[in-house]
Amino acid sequence: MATPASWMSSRAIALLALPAMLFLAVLFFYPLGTLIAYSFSGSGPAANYQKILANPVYLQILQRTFTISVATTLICALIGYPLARQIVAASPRGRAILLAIILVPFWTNLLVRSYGWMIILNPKGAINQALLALGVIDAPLALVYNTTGVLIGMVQIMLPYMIFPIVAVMSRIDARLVIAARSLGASPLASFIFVYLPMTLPGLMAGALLVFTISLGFFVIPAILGGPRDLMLAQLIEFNINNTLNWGFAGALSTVLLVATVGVYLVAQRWFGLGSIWGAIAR
Amino acid sequence: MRRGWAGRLAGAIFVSAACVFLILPTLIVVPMSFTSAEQLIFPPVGFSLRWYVNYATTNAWRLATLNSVLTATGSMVLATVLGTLAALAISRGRLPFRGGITTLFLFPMIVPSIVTAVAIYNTFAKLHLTDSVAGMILAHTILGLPFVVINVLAVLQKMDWRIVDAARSCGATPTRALFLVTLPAIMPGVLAGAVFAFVTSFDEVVVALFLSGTSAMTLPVQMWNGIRFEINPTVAAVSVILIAFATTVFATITTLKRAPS
Amino acid sequence: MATFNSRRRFCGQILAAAAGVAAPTFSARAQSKKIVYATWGGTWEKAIRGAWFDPFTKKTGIEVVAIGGNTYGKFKAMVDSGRVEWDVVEVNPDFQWIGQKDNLLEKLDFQVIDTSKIMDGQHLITPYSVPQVLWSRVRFYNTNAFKGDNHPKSWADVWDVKRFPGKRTFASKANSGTLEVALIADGVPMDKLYPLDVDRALKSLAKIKGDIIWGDTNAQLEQFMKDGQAVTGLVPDGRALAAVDNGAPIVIDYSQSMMTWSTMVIPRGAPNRDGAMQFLKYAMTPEAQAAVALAYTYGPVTPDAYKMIPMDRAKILSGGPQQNGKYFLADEKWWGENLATANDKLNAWRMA
Repeated sequence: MATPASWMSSRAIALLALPAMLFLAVLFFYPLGTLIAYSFSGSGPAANYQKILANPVYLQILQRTFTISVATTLICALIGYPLARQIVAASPRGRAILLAIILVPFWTNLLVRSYGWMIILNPKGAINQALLALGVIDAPLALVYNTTGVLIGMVQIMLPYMIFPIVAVMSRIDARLVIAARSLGASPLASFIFVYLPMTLPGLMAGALLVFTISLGFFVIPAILGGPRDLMLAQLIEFNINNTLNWGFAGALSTVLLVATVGVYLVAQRWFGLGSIWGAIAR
Repeated sequence: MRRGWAGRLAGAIFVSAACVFLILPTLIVVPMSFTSAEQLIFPPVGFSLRWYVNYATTNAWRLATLNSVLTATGSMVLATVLGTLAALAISRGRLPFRGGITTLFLFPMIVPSIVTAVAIYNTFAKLHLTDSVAGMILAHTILGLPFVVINVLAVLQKMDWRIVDAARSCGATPTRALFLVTLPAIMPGVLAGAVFAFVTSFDEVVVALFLSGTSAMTLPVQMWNGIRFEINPTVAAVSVILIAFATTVFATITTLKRAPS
Repeated sequence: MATFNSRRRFCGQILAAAAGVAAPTFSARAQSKKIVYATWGGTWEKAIRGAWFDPFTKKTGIEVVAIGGNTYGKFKAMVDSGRVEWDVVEVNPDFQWIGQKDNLLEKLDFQVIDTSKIMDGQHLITPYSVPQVLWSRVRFYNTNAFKGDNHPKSWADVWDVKRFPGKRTFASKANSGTLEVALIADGVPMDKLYPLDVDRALKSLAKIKGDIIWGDTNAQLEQFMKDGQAVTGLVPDGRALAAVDNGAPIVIDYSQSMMTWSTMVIPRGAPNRDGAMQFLKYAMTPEAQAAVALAYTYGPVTPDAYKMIPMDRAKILSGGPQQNGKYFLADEKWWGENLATANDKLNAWRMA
């Protein structure tokens, strides 16, 4: 490992973060702090937080939000990782085509996409009609207005966020290391698990981090494709900001979400310390 | 990696299925963009190009497209520059509480955008940044920063710093080493982050809705206009146009890259 | 012949005129030449541009610039920041109290705005707001599912899933009339609905819980009506009429319907408060109300407007003859004060 002195003094390098930090401090953290401070106002400093704890519905919503986000992350990882592998292994033209296809959802407005899924997945929609015609099922499947619908919608949106970081990291992997492992006698499976996978872990972790975090804040997809039980926290926050103007309560809900999310990061870092973004830094 | 034909077939089926999954809702929307009715309803009623015409001829839509492109490009550039520098600093600099600082950079992604919108509105209003493309760029840079930081950090894990040392020992100044050695090495991460920053801004509606005004309307905001009454089919037309455009760009780039040889 | 002298005289006249106009009234003129109207947009915006904005500009010379994004969150953020960009804003009636509570609204000048022609109705007019147009939530039924005379004719019928099988649709926000019709189905008379007994309404809803398909957006409700996913339910009349226009096999039934209205307010600190008052004065005239009722399927808040509306049109508008005696007016004040708690209860119940 090269010593910092051979490049630039590490103090100087650290200063590179300053523009971004100042930028966020003034335009984001200061305003956010004001809103969080506001959440401590009301009939008492902890009134809004007590309200959250007192009503089991809020905790239920919080728990469901996390569950759906975790599920989305896992599904995206399972689908995204092999897909990333295919992309990297493809010819340059194939790679370009696949990347273009992955970006297609981004060019379609979120509203339009959700509406599209609503039409495809409903009991009278294309998928059910096809399955019924083929005789695979007897009665239409409930694919929408429930958690299934939410997951389908969210995975479709989140997949690119999982795939890109993995592809980025995979493209920087020295393939000779895998060949070396194989030539030393390791089976394909073993060389994958013990050589390739660990090398791609930063990409996987980055993707998981992105997908999990963004999922937490979603409210359009759960609103349009979900059922009553899929009410997510961001919908509740939006309701309090845009309907009842109860900003103190909305601020409290957001703070709870923030604290819970950072908590999840800390736990995940402990479990996946090796290879995680912060774990590698700490080394 | 040699795989038998079975493995390759399975791989091909998997990739095809995933691709179909990714573009399915968009496919459904294509026929709906040709409806003659005034709202997006399935099955579509009639056949007409009026929504494409509407998009091309209405000032509001054209201005919104321009604003969106400007905002997305501007915030992409700003977020990429700030974020890459920050990622370099976190990865190689002597920063206290690195984990904490990294987490702080992720906050704009963790905080639901509606909360960000409400929180920053007051500050932006006082700085006269509402209803302006400049303000929109700054706001979307906030949202795009985490994407750049995460992607660049991920690639920095795999960075072999010895090539930088080699460059320095050959006499390169720190700046030259940065631009000619480090940056190309981490380019996939930077590009991924830049793409996300662009797309996040282009598709972003919540913050844009708050900060928009008579002069700075973006495409997503324009699309949400009238949502209480109907989904304007122009929205579907725009999506088709954007996909066609993006695909053409991709195809052109790929063809150009192969041409010289 | 335009000689130098005649030109000089002409310029002199212009300057004199300008000076005469400029001195005391210059700032008022600069201010009064436009107002910004925050609207929900879409086809509605097109309608009020033709029915209200253009005639208003012709009459007063004040230009009306329309802008979207009229959410309550942005409203409050804007007023709190001190830099208000809107002069007139369309809102739901609950904002008459929600906005007042947070001190976000300008008091209206009823010396300028003539409210004498507005219909009688509880809470339609407040010191801070005037009603905009009437609309209703109505029952519909699918003619493919219910042939001939065998269709639900009341909310009690809708609650009878045995005689009228199929999914019922309701909007998921608490103040969408769902609780009210649940109470009506449970036997509460229309004039005794408020204050709502939310718990009793939820108990009533529980009887058909498994047959409800919830609509979170108007687009969803229309899709349900069009493709028959829901065979009956409670929907906004404008959406139902649009669905019929697009070929949905449904019939609209006005019995036991809930009438409500949309509201216009002026944000506190609006840049052109006087222009805004002028606009509201114009919008409250029967002529303006008739114009908008002809341009969009909403009912006029001034009954006199019906003199200018042909019968064909009148019978699909809220407040028209077909709805006479068959509706109840939503108590928007109760909703303004109880939306949060009612919504919490409804969510909890839906999630259980």
